[in-house]
Amino acid sequence: MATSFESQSWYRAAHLRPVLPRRAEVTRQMFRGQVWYVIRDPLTGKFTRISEAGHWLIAQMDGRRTLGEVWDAACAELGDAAPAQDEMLALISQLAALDLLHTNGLPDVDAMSERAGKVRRKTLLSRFLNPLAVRFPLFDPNALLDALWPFARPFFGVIGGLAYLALLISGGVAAGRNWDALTGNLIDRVLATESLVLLVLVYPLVKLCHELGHGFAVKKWGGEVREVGVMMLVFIPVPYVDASASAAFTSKWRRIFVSGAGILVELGLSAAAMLLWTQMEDGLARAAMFNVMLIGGVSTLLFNGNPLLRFDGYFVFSDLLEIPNLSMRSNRFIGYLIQRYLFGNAKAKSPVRARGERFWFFTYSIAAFCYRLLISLTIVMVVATRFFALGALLAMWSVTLIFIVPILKHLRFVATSDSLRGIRHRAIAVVAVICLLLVGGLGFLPVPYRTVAQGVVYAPYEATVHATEPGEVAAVLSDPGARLAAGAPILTITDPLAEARLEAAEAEARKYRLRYEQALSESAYDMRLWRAQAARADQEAQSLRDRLASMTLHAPRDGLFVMPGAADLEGAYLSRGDVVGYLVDPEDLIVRVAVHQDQADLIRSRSRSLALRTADDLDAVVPARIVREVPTLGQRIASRALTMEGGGRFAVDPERGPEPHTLEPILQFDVAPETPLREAEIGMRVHVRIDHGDEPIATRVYRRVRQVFLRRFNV
Amino acid sequence: MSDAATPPQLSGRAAQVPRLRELRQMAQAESGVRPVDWRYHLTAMSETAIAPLRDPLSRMRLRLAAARVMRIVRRTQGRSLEDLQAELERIRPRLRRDRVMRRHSLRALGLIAAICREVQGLTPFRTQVMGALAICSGRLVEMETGSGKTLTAALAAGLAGLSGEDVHVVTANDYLAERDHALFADFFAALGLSTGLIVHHVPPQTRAPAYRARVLYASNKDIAFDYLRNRITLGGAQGSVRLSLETVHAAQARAASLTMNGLPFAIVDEADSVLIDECRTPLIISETAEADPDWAHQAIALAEPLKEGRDYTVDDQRRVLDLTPRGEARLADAGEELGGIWRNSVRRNHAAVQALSARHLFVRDEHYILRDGKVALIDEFTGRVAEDRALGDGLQQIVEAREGVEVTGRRVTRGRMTYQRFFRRYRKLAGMTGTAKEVAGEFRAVYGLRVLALPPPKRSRRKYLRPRIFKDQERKWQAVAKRAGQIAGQGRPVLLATRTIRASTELDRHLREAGLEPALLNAAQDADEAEVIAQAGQAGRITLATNMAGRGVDIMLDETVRQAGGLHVILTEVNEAGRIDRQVLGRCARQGDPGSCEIMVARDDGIIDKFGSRRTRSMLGDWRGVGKAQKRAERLMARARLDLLRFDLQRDGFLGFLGGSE
Repeated sequence: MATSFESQSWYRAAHLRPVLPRRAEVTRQMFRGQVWYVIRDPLTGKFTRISEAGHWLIAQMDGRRTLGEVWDAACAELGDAAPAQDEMLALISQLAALDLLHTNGLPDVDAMSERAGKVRRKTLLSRFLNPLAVRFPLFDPNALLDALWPFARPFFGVIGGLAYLALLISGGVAAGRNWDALTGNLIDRVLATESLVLLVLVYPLVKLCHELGHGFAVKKWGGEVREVGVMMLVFIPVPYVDASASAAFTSKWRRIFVSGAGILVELGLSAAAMLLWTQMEDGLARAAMFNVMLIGGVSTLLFNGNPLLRFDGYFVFSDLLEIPNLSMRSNRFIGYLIQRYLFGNAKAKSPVRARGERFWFFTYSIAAFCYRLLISLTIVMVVATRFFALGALLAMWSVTLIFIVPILKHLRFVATSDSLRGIRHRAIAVVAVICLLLVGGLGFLPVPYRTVAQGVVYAPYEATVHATEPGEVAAVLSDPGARLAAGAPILTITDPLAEARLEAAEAEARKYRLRYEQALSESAYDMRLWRAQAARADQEAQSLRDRLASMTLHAPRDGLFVMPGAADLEGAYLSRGDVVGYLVDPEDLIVRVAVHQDQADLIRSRSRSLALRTADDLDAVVPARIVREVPTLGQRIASRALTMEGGGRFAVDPERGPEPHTLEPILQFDVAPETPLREAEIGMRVHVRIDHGDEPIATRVYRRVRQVFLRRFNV
Repeated sequence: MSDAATPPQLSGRAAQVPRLRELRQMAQAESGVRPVDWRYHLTAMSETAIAPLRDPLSRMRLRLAAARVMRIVRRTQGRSLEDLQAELERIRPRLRRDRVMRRHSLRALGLIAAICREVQGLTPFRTQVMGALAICSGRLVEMETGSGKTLTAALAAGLAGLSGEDVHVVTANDYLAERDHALFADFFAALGLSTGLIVHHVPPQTRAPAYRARVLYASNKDIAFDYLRNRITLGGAQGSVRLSLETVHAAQARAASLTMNGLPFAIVDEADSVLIDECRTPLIISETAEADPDWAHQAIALAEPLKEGRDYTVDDQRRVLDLTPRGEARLADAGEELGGIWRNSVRRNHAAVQALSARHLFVRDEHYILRDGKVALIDEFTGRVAEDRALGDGLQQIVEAREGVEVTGRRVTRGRMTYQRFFRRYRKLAGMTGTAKEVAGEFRAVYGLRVLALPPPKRSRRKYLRPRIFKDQERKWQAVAKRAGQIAGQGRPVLLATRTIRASTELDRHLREAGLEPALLNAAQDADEAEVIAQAGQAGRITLATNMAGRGVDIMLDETVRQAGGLHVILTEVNEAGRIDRQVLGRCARQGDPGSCEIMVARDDGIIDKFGSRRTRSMLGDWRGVGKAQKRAERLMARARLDLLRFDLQRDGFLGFLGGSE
């Protein structure tokens, strides 16, 4: 039904003679070329914006004309802009809500007190619902600020401004010069316990200066500051002042200055702290300076100065754009778009009032949402690295605040709102489709799920040819790549000392034999001794002789001879047990893959197919399968190629050796390619892609979260 | 015997002033109990869930108490009236302290029932005693149609009146109020209670004495309007002390000009009709402004070239009409030509929508009739002419202009309130009806009334014949006429119930074509209502009535008719609520009489056409589809009622700062 020009309730108001109380402040403001009037009650600090037509009406209310007469005059005077009676009622009730309406009638006191009680209950409830930002008003600081103003005045003059600028520039330069020292290992330093304590102590002080900045900025242009209090922001007491007097300032630049004053103060403080920090010795004071910088810098950049969160920066931004109430109206604009185009509600009202607002509404609400999400996520992550339980609680809190509460609100709107009468079935259908798409997309639509890991080409132990004796390689007898039968000589090793030792042993044997011959004539006892000694020396010489002979390394089994370092081998020194090469059947070559223990379960339970790419030929994809799994999670890793030193992913525990051990447990398993690997590739890095089949995102997230919790709580 | 509850006589002006308690009640708004947000639904749902567990216990307690009362009634057999009165007078002071269902109250009720036996010649049944007790404990009693609710109310009113409480017995219409008042005047006199009657033709200025009576019979409309008028006199919600003091110093004290004496204890007869069905329209007191026929004619002219679908859309179910952007553009052009107030888009579009609504949504003889050159609205539920009611927002004027009668002035609202809020303000509320089950949740959530079903005193001998569905109305009317003739031929009276006046005239035509002589009872000719009803029980008589015959009407049968099988009721169209159907069908087989009823509907009947599924409207649908359509209509109505209440409360919250709330 079309809006009616006349109101059913008009009789309640038509005879009243309303008047705006004298204390009301009315200021004219321009927003995007449109004139608006701000009506403010200096007693409560509450204000409202009204249109030009509304202002015309209020100007007519002088306490002598009745509302009916005012309306008649408006109809005669304003033409198409004339308000409907309901709009008139809305206007005066807007004023009444600010306690800015005096009439000759008697109000319904019962109803009003009931309403006041409701408002009180609501405030209490909101405190309970949002314990992270509870406000406790303390006192009226107006007189105090007036008394302090002479001391603050110099800062708000030209000289103060220039000095401030100089401070800022020198602070910035100092920060640039000490950037690495400042930012190195930031999070760990911030979250160290002693630093946190200091932060909690410094934070309210910095914020006090910040709020004083707001307060003095209001004073600068003669406004009043009537409330100061403490807000428990995430359980840290932070002062706040009521700077709403600035809302009545005509010039938008003054409003911007008041909103931005806090940030300016903080930046100034951090610049000063920066300069001090560079000059100070390590100690508590220096740490405090660091914290002042941290608060001034980080909180300004990420929170206070950022227009995407509803702090100072937001008010600066919205005044700059000349879009009052930007956040709420941009959200309403998105709501309007949904109602208008998705639900097909032709009667939905767009909150756009001036040109160019549309763009800002659209971008702002989306950007703000994303930013809020990002910030909450980051906070949760940062906190969770140190205090897991608190992080988990915070995460739940943020999810509730960012997703669940708004979703419930919107669902309620769709289910009960009067504006959807008649198109509710469509609205519900649209919402259901969106929900289905979301639930289906996240919870049921299988998307490819893969793990990419690294491995090395690995020969089985029995295929390895080890050096049996230490010594220099004298000659390589078999060509790498040749197929050898068992027993074929591979290489000869010479021990440069072995011959000398043999000579020494033979000389010793000769010596004992001579002694023996000498003793034949002297002592039966000695004779026996030297004979035994000679026999021992002979034996030793013989064994050395044997060894000289066995310095030829023979193939222990059949196979293709692979010698990774063939060219460098000749003349190289081998210790006993060193790997000389491999005698492999290319069929036997496998890839040993190492993955983090978190993925162990996944790999064990669901590995559909595997594909390999060797490091020397990344284009060739070789399908593979798992053949064996090293049965326990361990820390010994198959090859240094898989460690961080070797370009892999696992950090090596420096305290264990000489075999490489990782810091965290890993799972290793062997993968056999479908087409045999080339023997030359032994020891080479292989990239393995393990396909777990398709799995919906929700299950995956659930698995991850569960793992994190299981690990944290050691269940 | 004097009314012991009369306050001590005061002299002069002070005597006219209501007591502070009553004044406070008149001056205050209801407190914020019984919310209308989600808790409303919670209450409604939990009520339906809990009732089956709770009610059997309540019934058992009542049955035990009623047995004691009946014992007293039997023992007093043979005692003289004076004797009974004397004893009642003795225990009367104790009643003020005693709670219902306690010793003295039960004793008093027994004596009241005995006096009733002596005076009226009617001995109350046990069910009626149970009902009276339940009413006195503030319950809504559901009793089978035709089981003597009127007497139940009288007993309860007697007991409450004796214990010092003013009682308002609120009836569905003037006819019932007058009838019941006349019926029980002697009875209340014998109890020593003063009685009063408020019906439409009693001028509002002379009603004050009636309101000072202990037991008051009144139709809901009159009493609610009286209250609204009183509230306007008071100037809305006010401090009662201030009003009281005013009487001391001011010559024309507002409190002194009140007609009503507070809202004490209301016993609402036909509670579902009064508390549920009537609630769809708010009470509005208005005064007539100067007539402006040009506006109406211009609005019609403005809307004339608009075409449905292209320029506007009509939603029959919700009875809403919307302009399309294209329609608005056409109107803007037309408005420029007309000039003046038509340049204002809000005024222009609104006028056009009203003109189109008059064209599409308001049908003569369904929504209004022409009587004495005036447009008179018809209440859809009662089927009666809604006296003094006019369509708002210029619609009335446009309808008048369309019908070519004199265009009256617009009504300018002076006061407005809903039935819900009115009855919620009673200190104590109780009621009775034949049909309350379906809306038990709503009763609880809106009024805090708990429904209690009581067993009928005698087994019902009502026979339900199979419902029949016809392809279109033409065939239905023929079948109905044939059927009516057939049953009338058997020497039984027939009651034919239609939903609209238009339908009743249509059926009347068919009956006359078939050579039958029906008596017509509808809003257009309700002058001889009582007489028509009195004769409706005669053998072979065919009575054709709109819904107005549905409530409380007792069609008396004589012995020959009883022998022939009693009254036969044919419901020719289902109503917006199943309750109303049941009420109409409940006209037959009352108080142990035999009787039968049947339903004959057509597929293009209003309700089925509007709310039925496509299947039901086609040849396929069966009786279940009709029931579904009706359910749908009921849901929509419930929704509309809740909306109205919500709107009313919200409006008051919103405009509270202005004062003058009703």
